[in-house]
Amino acid sequence: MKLMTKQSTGDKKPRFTRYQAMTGLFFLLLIIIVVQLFHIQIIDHKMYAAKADNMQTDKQTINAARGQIYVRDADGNIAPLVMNRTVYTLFADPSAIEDVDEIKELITSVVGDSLIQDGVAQLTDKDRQYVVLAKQLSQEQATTIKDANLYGLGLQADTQRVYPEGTLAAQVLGFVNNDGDGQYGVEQYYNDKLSGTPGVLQTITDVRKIPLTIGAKDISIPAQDGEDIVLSIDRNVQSQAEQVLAEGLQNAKATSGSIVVMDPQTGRVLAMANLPSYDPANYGEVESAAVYQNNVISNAYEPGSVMKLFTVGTGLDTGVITPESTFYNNSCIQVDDAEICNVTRSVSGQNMTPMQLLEYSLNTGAVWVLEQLGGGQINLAGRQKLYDYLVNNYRMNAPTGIDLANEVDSVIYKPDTPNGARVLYANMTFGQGEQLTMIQVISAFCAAINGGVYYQPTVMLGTLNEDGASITEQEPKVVAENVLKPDVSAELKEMLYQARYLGASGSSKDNGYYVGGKSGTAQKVDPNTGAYSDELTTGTYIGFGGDKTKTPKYAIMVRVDDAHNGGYSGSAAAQPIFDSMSNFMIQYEGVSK
Amino acid sequence: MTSSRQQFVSTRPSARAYAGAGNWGRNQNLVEYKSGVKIGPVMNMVVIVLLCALMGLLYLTQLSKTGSYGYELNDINERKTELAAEQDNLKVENARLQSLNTIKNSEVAKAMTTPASTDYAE
Repeated sequence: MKLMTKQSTGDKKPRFTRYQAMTGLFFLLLIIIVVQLFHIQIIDHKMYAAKADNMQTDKQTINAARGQIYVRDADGNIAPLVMNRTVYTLFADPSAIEDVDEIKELITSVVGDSLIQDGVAQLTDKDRQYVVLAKQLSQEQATTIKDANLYGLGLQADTQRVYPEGTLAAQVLGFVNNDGDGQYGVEQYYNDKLSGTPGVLQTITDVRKIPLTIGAKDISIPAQDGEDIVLSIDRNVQSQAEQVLAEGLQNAKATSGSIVVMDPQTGRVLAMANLPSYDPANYGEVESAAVYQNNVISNAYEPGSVMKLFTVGTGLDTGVITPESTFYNNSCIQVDDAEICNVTRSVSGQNMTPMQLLEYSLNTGAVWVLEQLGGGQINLAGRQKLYDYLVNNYRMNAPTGIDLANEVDSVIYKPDTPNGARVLYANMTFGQGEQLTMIQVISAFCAAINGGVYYQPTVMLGTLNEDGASITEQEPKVVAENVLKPDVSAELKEMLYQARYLGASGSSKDNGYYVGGKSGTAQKVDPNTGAYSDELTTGTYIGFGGDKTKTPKYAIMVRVDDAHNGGYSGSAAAQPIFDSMSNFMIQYEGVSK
Repeated sequence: MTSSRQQFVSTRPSARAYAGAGNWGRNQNLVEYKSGVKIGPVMNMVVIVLLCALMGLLYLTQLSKTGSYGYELNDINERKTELAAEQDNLKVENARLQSLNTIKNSEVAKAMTTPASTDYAE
């Protein structure tokens, strides 16, 4: 300003020379810059540092590989049942695409019919930045697309569960949903163990988000992969169980059924199957979500006459009856306002033993045991004793705690239940009135025939070690001992053996193998009438097989719903399935005569 | 301007040399050189700037070299991931080939016959 004044007037010496003015201006600018730098670097340091970090540093989650699930066979070979595979999602950024036709030509030739047509149609929409073109591409397809190096296309790697054995043990396994969470079965129960722990990678990146090795704030925490689980399920036994169940249901003209095979000396489940089933690789394509349910653990039902073996076991263990005790067998007996009758009338009017009670499946005989528990009549004391055994010994009042998701509870009414407790408990002795799951029944059955040891039922054998060949096995867990006295257990086992070969069906012949069992047919309540129906039934068969030392090697339980092949479904529909499975087990386990 | 040549200044020791005692007194053939290059303040600044630039370049070179390891590492990691995926896929294929369905549908299995008699428990 002063300089201008001097030039314009010419008669006054300026206060500052041009040099001084420029110097002053320079220093003024310098001061402004210094102040600004001070403000940025000192006062707003944290804010700008955070912004810089945000722009330069990339924090990525390193996904942990989900643990795989294996099974084994009798020779100890380990086979994968659930594995992981890398698949790719193909996406495009239409705003960055230069040649749409070239991209269409490439992806059509590589992906084919799997292309998502809606995505292809959006390739020309320059307003879009993310369009999915195909999912679950194989590595070969992904490599072909990657090698073409077309701008605007991208591939995103993802992990997919694959099932080399197809639908084998589907309801035991469950599946993994789109969020990576296990649903149903082992996948849900052991979700935490299988999931592992994700890692973290924090690095300085370039503009393409490629991590650089420099940077004081670099963090690299590797992911901890999930554990590989080995199930106690035997691949061959499971496959055979599914096959005989399917054939048995077809023969019985039934649509649904279940089978479970257990090692009675450990509580380990060797096979568990239900029909109808589903394909876990395509779990979204089912007509009803009901097929996800494992009925062995998730469906409580009235067990029918198989309960008689537990009633007899209670009578023997409490000492109110012996194998030599007899009762006079009436065709029907009256309990309060209810008439309880036998199915087999041919042996009415005779004295019968507990073994014959099981052989002819006599309802009146089961009620006789209840009377003996009460000192000769159906009273609270007798009911209480039966209840105590069902709850405390056979452990039927609560979920077994098997390591599968969605196990349901049972229904056992207390002995002092008002209104009709006498009739209710009379019915309960032969399996109507209580609701149990198959896993509860077979777990208690194993304890009843193995000498009285109740093992925790489990489907897990252990975890696979890092060498991929050896297993860290978990020990069988004893939940309770003396469920029945060892001698009572042996007597009951012998009764079941004799009842099977001398049984009411008369079809069995003793070839020297020690196989015993008991059938049961329970009427179901018709939802339309609210009354028990003769058409709707649950047929069950439970039994064991052992060698000449009479040591049970396997226990099998079969359930068939609504069979239509005539006869009582326990013996007509479920027992043939048991027989087929038992014969397989005799050969497979190398059971000797 | 300054010259790059160096000038010969003197061959004779100065009187001050003679004034010194000891061996110096006999070193009459000592010569003294003085650079003829004249470096002014501007040149000084230029040299300093150049040196700074050189140091910066050196620093950047080293830094880039370290940074380039990041790309190398990234490439190796990508390759590792691809190989791991390939290995997984091969394992899956191997498992499928050994699955029960494959075995049941094999030519060997189809050629098997049912035994004439079986001694079963039923």
